[in-house]
Amino acid sequence: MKTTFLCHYSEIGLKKGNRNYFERILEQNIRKSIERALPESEFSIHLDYKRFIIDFKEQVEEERVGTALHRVFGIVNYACVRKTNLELSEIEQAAVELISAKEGKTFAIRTKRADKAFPLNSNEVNVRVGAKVVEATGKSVDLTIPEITCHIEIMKQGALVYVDKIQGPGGLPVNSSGKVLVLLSGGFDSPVAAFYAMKRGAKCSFIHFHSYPYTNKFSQEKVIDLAKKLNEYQFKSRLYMVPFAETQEEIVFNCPDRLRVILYRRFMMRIAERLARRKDLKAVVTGESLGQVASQTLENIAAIEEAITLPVLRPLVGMDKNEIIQVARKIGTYEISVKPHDDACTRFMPRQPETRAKLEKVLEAEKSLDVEDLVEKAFQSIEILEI
Amino acid sequence: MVQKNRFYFDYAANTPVDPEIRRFLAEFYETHYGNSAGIHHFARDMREVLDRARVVVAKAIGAGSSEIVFTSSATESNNMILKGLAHKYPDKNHIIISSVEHSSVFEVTQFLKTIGFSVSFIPVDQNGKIDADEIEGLIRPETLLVSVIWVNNELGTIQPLEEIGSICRQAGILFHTDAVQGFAKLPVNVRETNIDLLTASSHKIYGPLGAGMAYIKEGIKLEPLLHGGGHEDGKRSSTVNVPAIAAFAKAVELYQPAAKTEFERIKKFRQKIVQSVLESVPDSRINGDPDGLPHIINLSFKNVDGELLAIYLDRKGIAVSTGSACSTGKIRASRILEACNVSVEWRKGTIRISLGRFTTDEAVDYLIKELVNAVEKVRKIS
Repeated sequence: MKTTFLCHYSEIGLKKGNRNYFERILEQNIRKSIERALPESEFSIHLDYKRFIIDFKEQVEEERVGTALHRVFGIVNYACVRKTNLELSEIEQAAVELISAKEGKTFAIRTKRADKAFPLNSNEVNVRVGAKVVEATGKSVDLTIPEITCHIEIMKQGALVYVDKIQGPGGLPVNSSGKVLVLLSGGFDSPVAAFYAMKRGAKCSFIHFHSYPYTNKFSQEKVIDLAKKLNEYQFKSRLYMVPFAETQEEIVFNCPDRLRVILYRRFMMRIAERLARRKDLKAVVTGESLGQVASQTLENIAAIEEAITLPVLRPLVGMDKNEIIQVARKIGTYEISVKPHDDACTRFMPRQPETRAKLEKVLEAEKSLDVEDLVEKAFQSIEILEI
Repeated sequence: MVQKNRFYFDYAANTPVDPEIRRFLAEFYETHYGNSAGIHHFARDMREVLDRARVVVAKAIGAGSSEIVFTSSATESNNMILKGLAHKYPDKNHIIISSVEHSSVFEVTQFLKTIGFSVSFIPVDQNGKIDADEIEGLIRPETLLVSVIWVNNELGTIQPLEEIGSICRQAGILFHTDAVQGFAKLPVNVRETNIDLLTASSHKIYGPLGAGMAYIKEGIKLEPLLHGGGHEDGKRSSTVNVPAIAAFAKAVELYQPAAKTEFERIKKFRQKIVQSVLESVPDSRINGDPDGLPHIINLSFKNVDGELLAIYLDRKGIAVSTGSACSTGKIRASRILEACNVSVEWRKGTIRISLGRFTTDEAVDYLIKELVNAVEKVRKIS
């Protein structure tokens, strides 16, 4: 039997004007995700009454399709469906087969009519099919907490019958909100921040600052692995590797050590902004959470953000560390982030970092640096990796 | 050899290759190739070169050429000897080493501890020198060997090999010395000094990287580290790196006659550096034995971050090494200086300046000038 999948997207926030745009991007993303997960399969996607119906030419592994759809933001739920003609007997037969194959003693039928021309209304379909299922399987109807829910969607061309409705990742399709630049470290937080940015429809480019040769190449490979993992949600990414050791050295040897971390981050922001503006990326995303580490007090965030004019998005601001870790596990970045690495060599960490930086002092400290020269040098030596 | 605006003070880590050896190698690679274990003409040529190199290296320490095994490095040689003996004599499961051994001995003994060996340490004085008499008290019936580094790589301190040799001989225990920093620079005769095992390498005496040696006194059996095609008389299988070894022998020949004048120059430089630094830099000290090898200068600056200092100097074009390393993110102060009972606020602020054949007056003057500034600057941010 040929495999068919049905996807629903969230309509909330969609206006008439942008629905087309949204649907077109979502369809592309679904296509790319399936092509990647099942490269050998042939399939077609069509939009029918705010639903995407994916028809495979042959039978394919449902799990692999599920994995592919689970990585497409914008999908609220999806299911492997049985297609029938618009004949009640066929619908009944499909429902009986699907329900009897499931464990559980109680069931409910939930029908939606996209095609109002069907002679029975939704409730009548529920009743008629339900009676048939009771007769054929011996299971009983429970409309409040059924063990099995069988959905029937009556479309113009035929009916879709299914029992396992799987919750999708939700959100908005990647690329529907524009492009952003994510500051990606080897840690737990920034990949999760990228995940949330993608979830809200941002297409992410990644920028990583490394202290090679003070840190080893392994740390960079880790970041590449993280970018590859995150790329599962957006099909094509760019990772910009910025050699940052020289900038760090300049800061270490010319500025008060308490301000090092703030100054590092100000330079990261400047370099990120320069890149973002050249590449038409509209915002910078960081994994900062309020008050998690010394550099993340409001005073320090303000002192850092003063160096950048682009919007800085911090999707993790409301999350606890354990919540971040939980998401990292779910999206598969945890296993990569947990590997030991020397992120910014402790050589360059101050003994006692400033927790409440005064902007005047930061600006004063920066006077001993040739800011423009350092930013431009770092910018010119960026290495671009296509993920 | 000389890089513009850069000054090399890390000869104890690796010496630049002597120009004559560079030329020798370039020609050698053109005319010689083949696996020295082969039967044909090419292989025989390689074998001849190898045998000649063996004679040269053996002669440098008063050994017989059949007692020399060529390896890739002194680290390999030390591993081969310690692990090889441990495999051969599992009942003799006690090893005595000095508390200032190079990692390639120290870490091997730490490994051997995991397979049932115990290790005793010979203490050192504040200059890093052992008292050979301490060894007698450490010897047990199951003691396999004593291993003491000849010239310490961080301090330049020279250990009393003769005394250790005779103590070991009397006790019937094997004596190994890691001779890397002293080999060819100082005279040694393994027979007169009662040395049973000795290791050295090429790249500390202006030879190329990738060639090391182990002297294993005739009659001592050890399990090979590398099993395979039976090269080096079955003691070290692996296609022999004949070009590097030939150049190693060449380096020995070139070095020994030049050693004396080289050391006279180096001594003068050393004196100048040490005197200027101790005079101009507050809270500075020199570590190691005043009678040690002069090319290694170990300086500590109180409450200075030694690694930041080395990075700062590198930015000024001065290459030195540091006693601490942050390879894993943690700052580790020198194990050697700890053994010398140097306190941590000094230990952290340690750099090693090592001199050699191509060190110039200009470089030394520049070093002195910049080092004084550097310490002042880095102390503020440490």
